[in-house]
Amino acid sequence: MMDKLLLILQGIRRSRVWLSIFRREGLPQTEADRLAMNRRNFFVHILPAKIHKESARLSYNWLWMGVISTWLFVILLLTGVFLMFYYVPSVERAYDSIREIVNAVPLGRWMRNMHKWSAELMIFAVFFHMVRVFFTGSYQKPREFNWVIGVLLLVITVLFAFSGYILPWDQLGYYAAKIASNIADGTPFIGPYVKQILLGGTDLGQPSLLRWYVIHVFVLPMSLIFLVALHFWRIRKDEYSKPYWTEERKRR
Amino acid sequence: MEVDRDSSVELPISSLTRRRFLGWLGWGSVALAVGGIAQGIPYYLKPQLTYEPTTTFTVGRPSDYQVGEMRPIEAKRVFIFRTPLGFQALSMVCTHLGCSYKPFGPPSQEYPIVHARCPCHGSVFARDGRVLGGPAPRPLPFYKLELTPDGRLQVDNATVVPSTYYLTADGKEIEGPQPDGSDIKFS
Repeated sequence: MMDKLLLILQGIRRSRVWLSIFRREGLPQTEADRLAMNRRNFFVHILPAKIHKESARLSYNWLWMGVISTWLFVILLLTGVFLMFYYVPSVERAYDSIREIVNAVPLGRWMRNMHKWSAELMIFAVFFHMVRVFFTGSYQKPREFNWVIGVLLLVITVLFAFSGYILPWDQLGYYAAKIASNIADGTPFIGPYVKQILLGGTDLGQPSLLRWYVIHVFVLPMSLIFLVALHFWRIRKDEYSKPYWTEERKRR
Repeated sequence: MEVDRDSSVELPISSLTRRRFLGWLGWGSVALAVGGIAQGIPYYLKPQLTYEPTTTFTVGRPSDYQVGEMRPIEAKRVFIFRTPLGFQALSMVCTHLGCSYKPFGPPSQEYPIVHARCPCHGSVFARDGRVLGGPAPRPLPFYKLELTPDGRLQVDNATVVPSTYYLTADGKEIEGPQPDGSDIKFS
């Protein structure tokens, strides 16, 4: 039985499809080969082939809050797509379409709650990621650029939470948008213009909901994915957030 | 510092070669095209048409009002005053929770000036919009007035003016005294 299974597996690994995708038959056998595969393979090249002993310490990595926020974002993307199938960004139907998702759609309540709780957790995770980076001094030279990207990512995450809060078009979301747009209105010189841009009118209404919907489901995800790619590229270059005090001084 | 230089090669004195010129031309037109669109984006984002109720409305002709009159326009929730100086439009919406307050009445023992009272939570306003008592957080706003070309009185409740703003019956905007309520003729 086991032999047959292994034979089938071997057959798959020798098949044209497998070879065409992975360009190699077996798994790496030696340490050097394993490291090389990690660098070359498109699917795992983002993962570290090795990490520094220090950064495996829980007191240093704080449960990898950055990784957790990334996975929460993946959950949010997937559940968000499912929610988009039913959600209608119209002032008449937004609230009812969410009630429909929760009460009538199979697994809808689960999707919505996953989206909601992942979103709340993501704010939490992003915040603690930032605190961790601050306390471990990982923002220091030469990694300042990644800190700046991280701050932008925090802003995007908060905007995500804010725009998502508006979409149900309930009392909470409606007045959140109302208050926020009035705060924007208070900006010197450009305030009234910014308010009109945010609302798509002089008062909260259908254009405002549509704008925040588009921002929530397109503008912000695209910006976040782009900046996260930059963020990861920098992390990879900096050897996966190796503690700065173990870093060689030559690059400073 | 000595630099090795091949003196047989003459460096061009002018840096504007044909290649560079064409390069500038190409990139310049790209920048013009992209910049031209980009400068329009802020205008694109600002809504031009809004499907909202209009902020201006007419409230009849100046001759419809007698001097000393205080007329509530219930549908639009403003009071129109005709004082000896001219017209004033005052919001009828209590700044506390948005009820319509009652018309102004003569001075009383408690409030020795002309005042209006909101029936919901007891806010009291003076004729110049000040809050005399109760929970109202802000004074009442006065609105801009103008005469339409066909001689109607028009209120713009999106434009707030000071309480010393008056519109004369022939359509001139003037600054007058703080209204103290002595303009209202109580019947």
